[in-house]
Amino acid sequence: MKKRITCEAILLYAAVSKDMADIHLDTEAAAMAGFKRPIVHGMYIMGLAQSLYLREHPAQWITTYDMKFHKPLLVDSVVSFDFVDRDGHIQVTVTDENGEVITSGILSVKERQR
Amino acid sequence: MNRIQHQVHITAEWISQYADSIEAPVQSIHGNLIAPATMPVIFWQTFDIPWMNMDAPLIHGSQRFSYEAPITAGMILDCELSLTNIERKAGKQGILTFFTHTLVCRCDGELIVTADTVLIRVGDDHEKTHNL
Repeated sequence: MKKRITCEAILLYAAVSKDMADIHLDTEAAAMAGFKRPIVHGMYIMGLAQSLYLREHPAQWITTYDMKFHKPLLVDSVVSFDFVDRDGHIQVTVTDENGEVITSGILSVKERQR
Repeated sequence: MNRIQHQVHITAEWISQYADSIEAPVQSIHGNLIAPATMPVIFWQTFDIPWMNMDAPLIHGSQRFSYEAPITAGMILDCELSLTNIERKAGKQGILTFFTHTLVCRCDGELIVTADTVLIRVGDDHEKTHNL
């Protein structure tokens, strides 16, 4: 599924996580580091991926979750989240508008007691 | 010593706030809110980490969480954060230093979650990191 990562979402995530590094919030700091726009927190992408998965599978909880951050993602980008079930382990791939992999990994789940 | 311990009190409000910030669905078990699996990363905000200058630019390389049981509202977690490995490699942008940290959280002595975080520093500026 596709989703636009907005500046507002990153401001909220920065405030809650208290990760207020300039590279995530300030266009000038991003430019100094060679980026056109600020960079999305890797943990925001990882968190959002789990949220999108669990919205479709509300009876499950995550037991292990492993991700690698391959490339920086600029805020206000549209990304694609893909989930493929491989024998109960879910392969998660997040790609940008050019089809390049930003983040990928695996999560494992269990059925949740209510 | 590159190891620090700290107690983290998990409130329903904190879980809700974090869940809202990543659009996580509300989940509960036995009537208590479950923390999203990625939440232990924000426990870092409660630690004063003496061996790293967290204001220095760092890249998040990889992240892993392994749960024995969900974190739920009301838990008081005994958390220990340690620097478990440092590795230097030559990259296109110069020297890359990989810092592997492990965060272990227990509740009443029972292991709840282990979270491994790899942070990467680009460049060879040793002054940015202390006590290594």
